[in-house]
Amino acid sequence: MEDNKKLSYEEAMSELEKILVELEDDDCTLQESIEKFKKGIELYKYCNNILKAAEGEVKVLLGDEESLAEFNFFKEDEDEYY
Amino acid sequence: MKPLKVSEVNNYIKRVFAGDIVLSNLEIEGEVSNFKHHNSGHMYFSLKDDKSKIRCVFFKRDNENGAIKLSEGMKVVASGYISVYDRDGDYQLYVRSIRDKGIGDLYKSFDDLKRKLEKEGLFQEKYKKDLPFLPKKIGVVTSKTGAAIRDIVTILKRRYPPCEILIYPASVQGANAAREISKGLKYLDNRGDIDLIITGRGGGSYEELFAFNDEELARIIFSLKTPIISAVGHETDYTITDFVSDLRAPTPSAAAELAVPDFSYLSNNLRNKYETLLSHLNKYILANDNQLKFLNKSLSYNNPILKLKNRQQDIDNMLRDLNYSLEKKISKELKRLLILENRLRLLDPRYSLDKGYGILYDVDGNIVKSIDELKIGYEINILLKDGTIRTVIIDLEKEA
Repeated sequence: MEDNKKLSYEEAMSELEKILVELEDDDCTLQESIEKFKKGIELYKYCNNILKAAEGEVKVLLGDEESLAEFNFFKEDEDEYY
Repeated sequence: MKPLKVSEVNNYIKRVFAGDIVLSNLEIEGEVSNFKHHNSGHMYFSLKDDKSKIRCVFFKRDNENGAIKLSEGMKVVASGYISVYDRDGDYQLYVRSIRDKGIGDLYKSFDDLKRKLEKEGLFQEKYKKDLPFLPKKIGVVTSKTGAAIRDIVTILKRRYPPCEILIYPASVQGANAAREISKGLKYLDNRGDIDLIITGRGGGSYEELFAFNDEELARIIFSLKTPIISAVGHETDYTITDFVSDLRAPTPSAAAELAVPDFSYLSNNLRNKYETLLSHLNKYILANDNQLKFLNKSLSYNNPILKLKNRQQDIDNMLRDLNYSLEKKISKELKRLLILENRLRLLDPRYSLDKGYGILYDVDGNIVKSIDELKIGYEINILLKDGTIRTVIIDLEKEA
């Protein structure tokens, strides 16, 4: 599902919710439900991957106005703040 | 000249002040700032105008009867005397009484600006941008030291660990604050990788927060492409920045709470969705399984073999009927046959035997019908009603 790559978490979630509602609808055929189910599982994985993303860095901009550079906000050796 | 001790100098100044006709009894007009009502009941604050300030102490015995309630930014007229606090060598106003002088100038300029920008529509709801649901990268413009940035980073990281944070350090009070904050906001807005900006600072006096009441800053915030949350001071503090931002958080901690959803909540929610999805499939399979079973039943009900069996039964029945009618027919025929037999029996030659006739057989068992078939000396059998006579022909006399 290539187009999932462009979805935001929120969009993927609402898509997933939509599928759940559609699955509740008894009108869909077995073939349709299985396809929806597959899509649902993919959306779940997609959302899950977003949540599982590596912990984001905390950086601070230092330097003069013309040449700002990013530094780790936490000191190297301990969990203290800059 | 003999050097004086510090305490002697302070004492001397104190005496000079006490002898001064102005300092020993005066009224001062100014805004209340850094107001603290100590547990002891004494009040400590400063009075200030746009250029300068003076420390004040308002002792419990003097302030107890005071009708007015002092607060930050309040413009007052305080009367009392100026003296020296020996320990620190500071001079201060010893307030005897105080009265309200209406809304302070700072508050007035805040209020004027607020009205002006409100009239221009900068605070209108329709200009408020939606905050991203899951910001990947959050820019923070605030002092790089102090409680505000600590609270923001800690809470953002606790609630949503994957988010990246980029801090643009800026003064949050003083003459340069508004300009530095503005610059930081513009910088973060133009980077292109920032999904959400938080700006603000921890609690402070009215003057300390006043950088966030800057008109230029307000206009820059209004022009930002990136959604912004303001978090200035405490819950009770309202600034122009709060009004013009997309969302006002009561405190920096609250801004972090509003900026990102709670990670564990998201995970649980997603997990629930997943389980619902699975249960749907199971339900579907179960329902279809039941349907299949039902179909199977009705299928077997309509099974051609069953039909064939039914047919078979029909055939059997027919056969039975056929047999029956056949049997009937047969018995009928048999009856007819019996009648015929009886009639036949009447015609049976042997029937004549009863009447005393006999039948002649040659030795081969053939009925003898003519005398020509016999010769003297032939052995013949005569069949009578109740037995057979074996005899030999002794004479033959043919009728003429």
